Amino acid sequence: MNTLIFIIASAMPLAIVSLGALYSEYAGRMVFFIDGLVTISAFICYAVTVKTSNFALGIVLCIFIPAVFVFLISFIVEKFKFNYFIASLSENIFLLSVATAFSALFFKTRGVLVSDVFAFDQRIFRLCAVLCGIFIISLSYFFLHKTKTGLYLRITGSDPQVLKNSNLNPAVYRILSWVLASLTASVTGILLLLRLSSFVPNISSGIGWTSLAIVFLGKKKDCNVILMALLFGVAQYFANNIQNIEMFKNIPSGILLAFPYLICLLMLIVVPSKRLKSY
Amino acid sequence: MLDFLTGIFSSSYYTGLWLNTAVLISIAAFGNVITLKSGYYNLGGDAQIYMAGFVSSMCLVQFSSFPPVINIILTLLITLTVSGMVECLSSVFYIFKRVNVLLTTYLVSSALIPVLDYLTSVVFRTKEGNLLATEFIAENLRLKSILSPSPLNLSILFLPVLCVLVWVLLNKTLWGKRVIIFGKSEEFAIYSGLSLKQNLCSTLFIDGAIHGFAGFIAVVGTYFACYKGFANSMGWNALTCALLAGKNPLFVIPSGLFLSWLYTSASRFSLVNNFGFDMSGIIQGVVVFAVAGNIAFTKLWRKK
Repeated sequence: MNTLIFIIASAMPLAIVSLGALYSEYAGRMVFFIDGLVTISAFICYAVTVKTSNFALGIVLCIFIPAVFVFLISFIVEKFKFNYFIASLSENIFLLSVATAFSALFFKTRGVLVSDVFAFDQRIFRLCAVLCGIFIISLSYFFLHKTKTGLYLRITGSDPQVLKNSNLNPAVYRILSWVLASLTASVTGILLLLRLSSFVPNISSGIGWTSLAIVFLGKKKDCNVILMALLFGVAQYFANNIQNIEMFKNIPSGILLAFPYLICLLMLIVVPSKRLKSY
Repeated sequence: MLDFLTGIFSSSYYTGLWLNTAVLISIAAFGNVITLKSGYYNLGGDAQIYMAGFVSSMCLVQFSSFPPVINIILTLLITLTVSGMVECLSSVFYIFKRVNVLLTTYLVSSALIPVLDYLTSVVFRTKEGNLLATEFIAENLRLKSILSPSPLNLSILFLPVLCVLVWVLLNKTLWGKRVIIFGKSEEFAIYSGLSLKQNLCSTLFIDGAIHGFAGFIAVVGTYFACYKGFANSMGWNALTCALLAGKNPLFVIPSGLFLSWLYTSASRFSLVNNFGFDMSGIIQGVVVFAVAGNIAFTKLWRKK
C-alpha cells in the first residue's frame, strides 16, 4: 500500500504539469518552457521561504510571479505576432539561466541550496502530492468538460474560426492556456521542492519535455494523459529501484540518469499510434 | 559598458577564444540551417557534438598505429556516420510513430548525455592526471594553433568552405530544392510526389553529420581529448545562430561571430567583475526572443 501511495505521489508532479502542457496543446500553442517555469517557480518558493521564513508567502509568490511573466510574454507574442515556437524556446533558456543567476546572487552558489527552514517530512510531500493531484485533476476535468471557457479552450487550436464566428478572440484563449500551464508548472515546482527539501539547479530534470511526450502518448485526451503520467511514474519507480535487484545492482550511474528519457522513448515505441503512410 | 563591448579585444587570448567559439558554433549551425529549411528543429545538437567528440577521441587514439592521414580520414568517416545516425533515429520515430522530431531529438540527446558523461569520466578516463577526460590524441593529429595562447586554430579555414558547400547544397542541387519545398509546405511536397521519408532521413542525417564535424573539430583543434560535458550548450548556441541567420547559410558566419562575441564578452565580464554566474544563458534567451520578434516584424513588413 505504501509503495502504491509512493508511486502515485511521485507521478503527481508529472501528471499536473502534463495537464498544463495539454492546455497549451489544445490552444495550438505548445509550451516549450515548462522546465524553465518549474525551475524558476521552485527557486522563488525556496528563496522567499528561506529569506522570510514564510512558506505561505513563498507559495503565493512562486505561483504569482511566473504567471505574470508568462502573461506578459504571451501577450507580446500574440499582440506582435511573434513566432510563438521560437519565443517559447527562448523563454526556457532564459528562465533556466535566471534561476542560476539569482541563486548565485542571493545564496552565493550555483549548486544545491539547503536550509533548516526548508526541511519537510516525506509523508508531507506524499500527502500534499496526492491531495494536490486529486484536486487539480478534478478541477481540470470540471473546467475542460463542464465550462464554456474549457470548451472554447479545447477548440482554440483545432477550430479557431468557430471562436471568431462566435465573436470570441482565440488569442485570449491562447494566452489563457499559457498562464494555466504556468500555474501547473508552479505547483509542480513546489511539489518537487517538498520532495527534495532543497533546491537543486536541475530540479525539473526534463519534466517539461517528458510532459510533452506524455501529451503525445495520451493522444491529447486529459484522462489518457493522467493515465500515461501514472504509468510513467510506475516505470520511473522501477527504474529508481533497479539497483536493489541483484542482477542490476552494478548498473552505472550514467544509465540511471538517462532512465527517465529512455523510458519516455520506450513508451513512444510501445504505445500504438498512427504510422506514416507510404510516401 | 565599453569594457563589455570591447573587452575581448584587450588580449589575444580573448580574441582567439571569440573566433574559435564562433567557428564551433557556426559549423554546427550549418547543420541546423538544413533542418530548419526542411521545417524541422533539432534540439539534440549537444549530444550529437558530444558523441562525435567522444567517438573522435577514441578512434584517434585507437588508430594511432595507422598513418596520420588514414587515421584522420577513418575517424572522420566513423564520427560523421555515428552522429548522423544519432539524429537519424528521430526520423524513425517520426516515420513509425509520427512523433515530433523536435521532441525526439531532445529526448535522445538527454538520454545520451549522462551515458557519455559516464563513459568519458569513468570507463575511458585518462590515467594521466585528474582530468575528467579521455586520453589525449597524438600531437601530430592536432590542428595547428594560430593565435597562441588562445585556442584558435586552423579550423577557421573550414568555415568559408562549409558555408559555400551548404549554400550550393541547398540552392543548386535537386536535393536542396526538395528540402526547401518540404520546409515551405510538407503537404504540397507530398502531393507533388516527393518522398517524405527520404527527405526526413537525409536531412537529419546530414544535420547530425555536420554537428559531428563540429565535435571532431573541437577535439582535433581545441580540446585534444573528450572532456566531460565539453559540448554543453554548444547545440543550443548553434540553433540560436541558425535562427539568427534567418536559415540562410550566408549569414551563419556573421551570426556566429556576433553570438560568440556576446558569449565571450559575457563570460569575461562575469569573470572580471566576479559575478559568480554566467550571463550567456540570459543573453541567449533575450537574443532568441528578439529573433522570434524579428521574424514577426519581417513578415508584417513584407505584407505591407
